[in-house]
Amino acid sequence: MVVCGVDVGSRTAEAVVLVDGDIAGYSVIRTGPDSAATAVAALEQALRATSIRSEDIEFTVATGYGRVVVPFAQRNVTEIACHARGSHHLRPSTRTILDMGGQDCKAIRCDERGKVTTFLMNDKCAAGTGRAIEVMASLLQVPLETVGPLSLDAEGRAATISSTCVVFAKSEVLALARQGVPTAEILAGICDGVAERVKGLLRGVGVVEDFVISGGISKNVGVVRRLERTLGVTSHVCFEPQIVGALGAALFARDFLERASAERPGPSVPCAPAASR
Amino acid sequence: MAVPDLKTIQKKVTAGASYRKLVAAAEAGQPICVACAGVPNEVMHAMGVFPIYPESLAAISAGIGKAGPFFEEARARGLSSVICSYTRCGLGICWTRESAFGPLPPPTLAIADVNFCSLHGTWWRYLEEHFGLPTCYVDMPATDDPDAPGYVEYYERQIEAMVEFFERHTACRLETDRLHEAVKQSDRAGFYWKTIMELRRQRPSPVSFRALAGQILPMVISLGDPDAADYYEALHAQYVEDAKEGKTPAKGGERYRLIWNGIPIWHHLQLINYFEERGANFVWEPYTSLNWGNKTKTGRLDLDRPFHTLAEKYTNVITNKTIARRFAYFDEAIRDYAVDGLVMFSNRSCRPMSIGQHELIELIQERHDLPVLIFEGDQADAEGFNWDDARMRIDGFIEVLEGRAARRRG
Repeated sequence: MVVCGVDVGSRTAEAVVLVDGDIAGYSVIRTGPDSAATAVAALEQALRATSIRSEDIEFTVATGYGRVVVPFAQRNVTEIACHARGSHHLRPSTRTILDMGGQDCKAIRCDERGKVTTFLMNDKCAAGTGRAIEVMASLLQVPLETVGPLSLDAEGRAATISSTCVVFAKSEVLALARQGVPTAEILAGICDGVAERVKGLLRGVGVVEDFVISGGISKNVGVVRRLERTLGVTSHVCFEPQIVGALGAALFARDFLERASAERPGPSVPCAPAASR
Repeated sequence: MAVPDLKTIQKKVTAGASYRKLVAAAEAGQPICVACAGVPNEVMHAMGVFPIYPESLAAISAGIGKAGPFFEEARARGLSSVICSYTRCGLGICWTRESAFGPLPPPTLAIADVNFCSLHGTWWRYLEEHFGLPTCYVDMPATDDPDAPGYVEYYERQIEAMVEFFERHTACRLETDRLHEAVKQSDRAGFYWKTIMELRRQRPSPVSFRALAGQILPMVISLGDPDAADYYEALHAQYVEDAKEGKTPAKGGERYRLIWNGIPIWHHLQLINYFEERGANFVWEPYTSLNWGNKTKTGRLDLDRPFHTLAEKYTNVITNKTIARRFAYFDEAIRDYAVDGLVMFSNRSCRPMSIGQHELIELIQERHDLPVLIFEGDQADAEGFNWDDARMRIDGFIEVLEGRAARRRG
């Protein structure tokens, strides 16, 4: 059984291909202006190192903000459900998920089957999102992957950044840099701010362990450590936290296909794309 | 007596028809009064004072996508976007003397009440200064016990003061017969509105919150007018028929029954349709029963004590109640209307509606274990609204409801 999950987010898109429940290939690419083309590119890249052809895929579920325009998906499911499903699959004891994406953050609680029981999302503002960290890293000319480790070098000496709004925070960060405040201290202030905002969301749903963080920001050790400390819990991050949503989508695809097969016994055939709901 | 024909009577109470009535009243020399929602309009109707409601005009403008110029006017005059969008848009309307339907006649006086919202006091102060209008401020102090007899009597005296204000500043006089008739018509309208709300207890509920958001207008601006009463009688008859036929706005049948807490999001009312497309129907909202539907102990207005009965009704509003009392209101509705979940609109414009929401959610979840979706946004200002984000939240919430239904089915 070959199924696919595609997660078209605001900053990145991911595809995961499962063969009989095992990950056969996956990809993480930048989202372009055309979500449909991005989804196709993500799938092509996921298949590149495999012998699977796109026509071998029997069912595809799309998720993410671009989920309704993925041309080859038969169904779409929200990333709320997909991140819960993916996290639960990788770690069945998962009960709380924090998906820290490029455009928004979601605090999600799930049950013992990985089904969402409640969730909270941040509002539309970019504060507390991956995009905010990207903007600041670019402003300070620091590689994105070094933001977290550098911020930990200045623990206890974090610069105060009072603006929640990314646009205003940029001005504050520039002013701090001009005053000669060390970059690590500014980054510590940025990571403190992100952790603080996300904490409110998590408290809203209530953190029950195991606590899993998915999405791009989970690669930022500065934010993750601060969150763990402030919440008093240990977090778990999978080998590639950006594909958790796409993995969840692929698992839903498997479910849909199994259900369809059970309802219509006979040889498995690729499903024609259906109109997105 | 035969029930009025809905289509015929509806034409007399639309927003456009109300505007034409306003223009005709001004041309006939009736005093035009800028009034806020919550002022007892039965009294104004009885006295021949014609009201303009900036809040309603703001909501309508937002609903039909014509609020932009009014927000711009408010911005140009230095009002910050953190101020209530009704206030900004409503002031923009008054400053430009324009509405979504055409120019507004010049007002002759103004009246504000703080029963729904304490901001009315500040807002009307602006109007008083800008237009130099005689302005009446009807008081309703904060209290822990709005049902106390002394509190209701206090408001009764406020209504009397309102009459004195109109008599002092206009040639209008209050005649007992006309007040009696206005309260009678208000009682009829309120009775049918309340009965429509009760119809929503049926499964499926035949009523769409999207439709109600428009149908509520005469209840807000025309109580006392017999056309409003006729309209609600006809509307009620239509909903009774729809209920008998099992009609529901929820596509594919009513799978989930929800509460909407807050003012509708006027600039994106299609959001309600999206819930309905996903099989979810709103069956109760505090907003649609704010103080509409004869909110007295008997559910009827006492025609023999018009001021007292109006005071009882107008003081019985959720926004002046404590969190514990608000919870009791929700608790009863959740049971009566067999609710599956709640949508809480955290409205950055409306503190009276949004305050205490977190505590309310905790109390509700403690007793009822119901899922809650929180929407952040604004009632009339579309700035910052993101349809993709809204759809994501609704889809996620429907998935939670589906999961709970599946667990119940085993």
